[in-house]
Amino acid sequence: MASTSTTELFLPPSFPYPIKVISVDASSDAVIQRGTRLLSYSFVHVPAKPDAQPESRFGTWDSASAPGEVISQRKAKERPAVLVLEDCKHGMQISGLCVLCGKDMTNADYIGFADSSRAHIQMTHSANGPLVSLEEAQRLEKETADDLLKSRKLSLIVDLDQTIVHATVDPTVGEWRSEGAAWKARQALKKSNACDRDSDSSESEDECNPNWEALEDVGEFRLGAETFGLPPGKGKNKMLENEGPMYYIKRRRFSRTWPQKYQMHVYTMGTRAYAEQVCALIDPTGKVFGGRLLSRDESGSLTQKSLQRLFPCDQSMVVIIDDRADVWEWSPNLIKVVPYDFFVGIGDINSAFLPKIEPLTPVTPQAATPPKAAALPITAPTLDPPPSADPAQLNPSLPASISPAEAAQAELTEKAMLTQNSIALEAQVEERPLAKKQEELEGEVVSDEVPSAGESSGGSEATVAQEPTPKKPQRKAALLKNDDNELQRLGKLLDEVHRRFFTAYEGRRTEDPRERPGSSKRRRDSIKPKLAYDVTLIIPQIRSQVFDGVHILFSSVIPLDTNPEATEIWRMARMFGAKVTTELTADVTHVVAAKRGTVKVDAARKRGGIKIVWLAWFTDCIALWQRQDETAYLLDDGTTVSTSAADAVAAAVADEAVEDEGWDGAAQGGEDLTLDAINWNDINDEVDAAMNESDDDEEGEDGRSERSAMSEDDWQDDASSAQSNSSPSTPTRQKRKRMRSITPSSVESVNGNGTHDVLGSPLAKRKKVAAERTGYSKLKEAISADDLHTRSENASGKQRSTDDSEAPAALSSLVSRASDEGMQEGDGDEDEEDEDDDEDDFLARELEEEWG
Amino acid sequence: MFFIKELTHTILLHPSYFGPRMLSFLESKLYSDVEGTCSGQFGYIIAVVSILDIGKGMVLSGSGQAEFITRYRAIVFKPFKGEVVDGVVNNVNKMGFFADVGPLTVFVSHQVGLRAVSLLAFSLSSGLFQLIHPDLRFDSNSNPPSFASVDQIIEKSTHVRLKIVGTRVDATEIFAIGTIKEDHLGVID
Repeated sequence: MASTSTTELFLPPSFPYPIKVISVDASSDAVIQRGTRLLSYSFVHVPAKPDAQPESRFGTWDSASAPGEVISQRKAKERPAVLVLEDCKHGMQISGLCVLCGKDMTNADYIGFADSSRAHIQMTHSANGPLVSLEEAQRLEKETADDLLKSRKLSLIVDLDQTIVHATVDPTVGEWRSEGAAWKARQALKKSNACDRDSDSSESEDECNPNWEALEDVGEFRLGAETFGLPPGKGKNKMLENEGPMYYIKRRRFSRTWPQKYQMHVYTMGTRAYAEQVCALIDPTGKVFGGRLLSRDESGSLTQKSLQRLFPCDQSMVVIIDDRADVWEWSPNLIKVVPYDFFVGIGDINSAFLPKIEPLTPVTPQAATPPKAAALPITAPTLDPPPSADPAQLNPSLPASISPAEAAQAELTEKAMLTQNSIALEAQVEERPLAKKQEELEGEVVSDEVPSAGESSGGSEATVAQEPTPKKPQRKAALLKNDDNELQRLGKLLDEVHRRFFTAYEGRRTEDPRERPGSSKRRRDSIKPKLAYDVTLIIPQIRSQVFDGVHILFSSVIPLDTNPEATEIWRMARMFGAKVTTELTADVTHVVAAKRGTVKVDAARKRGGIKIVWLAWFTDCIALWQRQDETAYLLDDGTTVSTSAADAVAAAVADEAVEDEGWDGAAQGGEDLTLDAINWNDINDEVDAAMNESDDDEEGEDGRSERSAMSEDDWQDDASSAQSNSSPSTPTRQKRKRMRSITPSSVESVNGNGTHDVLGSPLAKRKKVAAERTGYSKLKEAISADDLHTRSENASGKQRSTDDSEAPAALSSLVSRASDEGMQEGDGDEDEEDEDDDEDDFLARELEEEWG
Repeated sequence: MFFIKELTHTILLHPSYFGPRMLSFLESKLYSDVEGTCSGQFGYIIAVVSILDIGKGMVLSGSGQAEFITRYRAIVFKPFKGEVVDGVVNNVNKMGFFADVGPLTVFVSHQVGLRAVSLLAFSLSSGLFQLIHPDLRFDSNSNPPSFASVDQIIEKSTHVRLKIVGTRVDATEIFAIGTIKEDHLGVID
């Protein structure tokens, strides 16, 4: 016991080492006071003059420790020179008083040492709580850890804003709420009246505010005017100064089982008053948080959150959930949540002074959105916060609130930052972003209906565009919706962390029962990291499973002039367990691209077997801590969906002269064949030959695509021009691309006017099937097919190779018969028909429909 | 400890207040200025008992304000080391609890001190030194947080009797440390 209470004294670093101890002036077991001479020493002094001789000088070491000590031991240089047994170590102090002996610690002695410097760690939630020394902090933490282990709990630090609540001061919410409440009252009244007279109830079918459903459980409170921090006397703000703004708090649902597994703390960037009010709303009984509340008033920093603030020594049992990882400096304890964006576009009302988050470029082209929205119904609206997510950005009239980000370093600007924040708040009150959004939304609904009805061809795209916007077709569109399940997902993660921790803990304990459970030393010494019960190991472990075995190559994601290893996204990928490269190596499994047509994308496509996905796939994976299905994010989807958009461009494509010629020629050839209806056998042979050649051909194509690797856009136009030309025989690339698409060919073939049926390319199919079925007929008679024919047959040959599996045999036989007849007819009036292949196509389709 | 003390306070009065109701204004100004304040020297000024002399009201050249040097008698509260006081617990954390003794906040630590078995007279008896009885343990799961033993519980708004073991006096503030680990101290019903 004595050893723990001794204080180690080291020789001060300011000594002119090496020194030689001449005499020990205070004997062992002597009582010493502060200022008692402990020892004398000598050292060699070399004067500054160049030719001076070294001389010996002498010094003494006076104890700088508290009075009333006993020297018990003297040790070598690196070890403590003196062990002093103190009356009180002043390990915990409050407002300059030692909490044990009640002595004033603030008096500095003549060498400027004050005992108050001995306890400097603040580890309570309150700002004026006791300060503790490191030793004391360790002891307290061990106590806490023991308690928690005993009750099988971990610590959980939660953020408030955008993590478990979303707050706004927009008075629109209040108005909507009162509207809704009034409506509810009317409904209740109506219900009670309905028993008396039925006629009245049907008549008064009044309309409820569309947002009422989501707003019903929003909590509200008013904070004092001082939170606004405005200089008094601004006329227009008088009302606000008087009573402060009303805060509206939307709770995010989290499971009631969390408190059973976690001791929960709140750590927020809001003010104390705000945090208390919010906690009173989400936890009225105080059971969940129990006063463990840390706000920016106590945090000590306006830009950073520090785990050391609450857990100075041992963070192995702490889990953090927050919507921002940067304020925690990517702590290994952190589980980042998808920010709660209930009040659309409001952002975090308490972090106007924090640096803006640049969203991890989650931008996907519109075309890629629908599969994504379908795959992630949970968080789709919150995943890509609109660029105007911040109130400051939302209000362009407030450029001032952007500047704090740069000025944040200077401590003096802290106050300014707070003012900015309050200005931003005030702006929110005045500008009512929500009301605007709702208006916009309602406008949008009206304007949306018109074009989507008009352009039937691009119908698919129009619905695509509408889908992500939060609206319901019923009555009025609701801006605010209860559609957030983020915390349920998070709850599973938390359960997993908890389970792993205590599985490891139990395992360890049964293995070595003598070991004290809470001993942090033991934890650090752990030889088998897999078994370590340490959250800082478990969380990264779970995290790294997300991209386990994934080898990522980024394309046009990381700016060229930056060091890729240093970028955020690179680190994220590594943190989530992916291997990342800068070059297309053999192991690359995924190419994450921000746009089409980069060299890497093309090269990866050429190689095949590599999943080429939008960046959204990556961001979604790391947001949800789960590897998403890549099919929804594939880069190639874009081209097929945006068919109609590409139509317009198609005409302009002239530079791909060769290809165009090829198609035209093929089309021509197709007609010729139809018209002449001869030499099927020959053609058949050619088909076979083409099939044999197909590999070469493909290579040729790839080679070409490699050559034009830079011009992905051309490529695309190319494809679309092919579609719009509706050439019966499609070039190979087009073919392959089609096969990748999700859209089944049958759907496509029925699909309306402008977009012609490319995949079916019924003419080619007909020819092919006919060739198969009819065998050697009069068509045998030779006509030598020219080069263009050859090309077309190459294509159709390949077509068959793929189509055989798709087309049911019955259908194909029908078609073949149809085509036979069609050809018979074609024999008759060939002259008219060779004008326009479109017409021909149309006829063919009609026939097909007629027969099948 | 409470004292009745004669004190002075200087009031500067703006000329717009010069008039028939000046005296009553001075009085109310005095009350609002001094009651509830704390000076290191005298402690907390609890209440003004009587005004002995409102002062002469010298008009200052330059500003035109009148300066009244008011003498008054007030009840002051100054805590001393060793004093036993009653308080109400207002905050409990794992390190101890805070109790409000009127305007003064006293912290009572739960820390176990290891006082040296030394030659110093006052702690000859034992090596262990505490301010809260070890039977009272911090219960982090309770709501609100509390120190609890079999028969006693200390939580927010519990009344406790405590002894002040140390004070620190600032110019405008007083801090105090207390103990409840002595006879007749602790929870009072």
